[in-house]
Amino acid sequence: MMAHLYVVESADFLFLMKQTGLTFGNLSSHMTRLEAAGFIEVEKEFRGKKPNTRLSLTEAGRSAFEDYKENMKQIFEEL
Amino acid sequence: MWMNEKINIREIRQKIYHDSMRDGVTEMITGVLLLCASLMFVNSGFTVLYLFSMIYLNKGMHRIRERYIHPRTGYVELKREEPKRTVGGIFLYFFAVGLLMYVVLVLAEGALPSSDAMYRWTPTFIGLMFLGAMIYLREKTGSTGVLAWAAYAIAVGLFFSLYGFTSPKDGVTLYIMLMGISFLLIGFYKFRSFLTTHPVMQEMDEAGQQGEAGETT
Repeated sequence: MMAHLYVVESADFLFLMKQTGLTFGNLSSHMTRLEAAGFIEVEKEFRGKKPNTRLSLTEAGRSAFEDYKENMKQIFEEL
Repeated sequence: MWMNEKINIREIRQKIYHDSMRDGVTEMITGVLLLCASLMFVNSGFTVLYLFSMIYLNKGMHRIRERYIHPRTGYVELKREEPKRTVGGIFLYFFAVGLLMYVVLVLAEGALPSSDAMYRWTPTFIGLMFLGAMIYLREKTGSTGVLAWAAYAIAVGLFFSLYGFTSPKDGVTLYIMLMGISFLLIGFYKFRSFLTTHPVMQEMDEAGQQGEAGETT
């Protein structure tokens, strides 16, 4: 989910569900935890009469993901 | 994706770009723009129509996507390109191809090419411009299928350049018109297929129930 948000400006809940293949509940749980950690920003709105949840990475989230990528790269290089 | 799996950011980015272009809307809009541009060659009075189409088609594209595409795929705002870099790249490619074709024409004719010769080879030049655009899209989407458009554009461009039109300007007009119709038809076909293969989805409402898909077209 973080990787998908890393390469776009923002995306809504449906888009992330389709792209990640996660279920509604699973994605929702990830979203709550990442929002609580300050890694993603969640905006809820109604588009017409339909609920719409838009997510984007915060600066802290972007930086944390870059650190994670760097760490993983090092681990794979050491293998 | 598990924590110990290597994340390929480039692949994810390409898949997102690829998925966002599967709906055929971009092809339909390109088709309409090319058709309006070809009408400009028929009568300069159509320039106004072309300018209007440039302004309003972008809005139209957003409306079509909001009405038909986002309820099926969800909404994504792609990363903004650096305008200086993109425009700079387009101009550089434009001048490089233009210069190359000019040199080839000078060498082939043994003199500075006439305006008729320049018009005659314009379809091939446009075909090569399509090639540049499709190479860019290939990099963005990771899909080699887009290069079929480039092959088609160059093959048709060469045919129109070599065919003996009474007025070389007619060749340019017909070429742009044919490309416009081709983009429009393929775009419309992709759009129709997209609507039938992608059902409308909805987020859950506040009570936690998955919303009903209201429409299918």
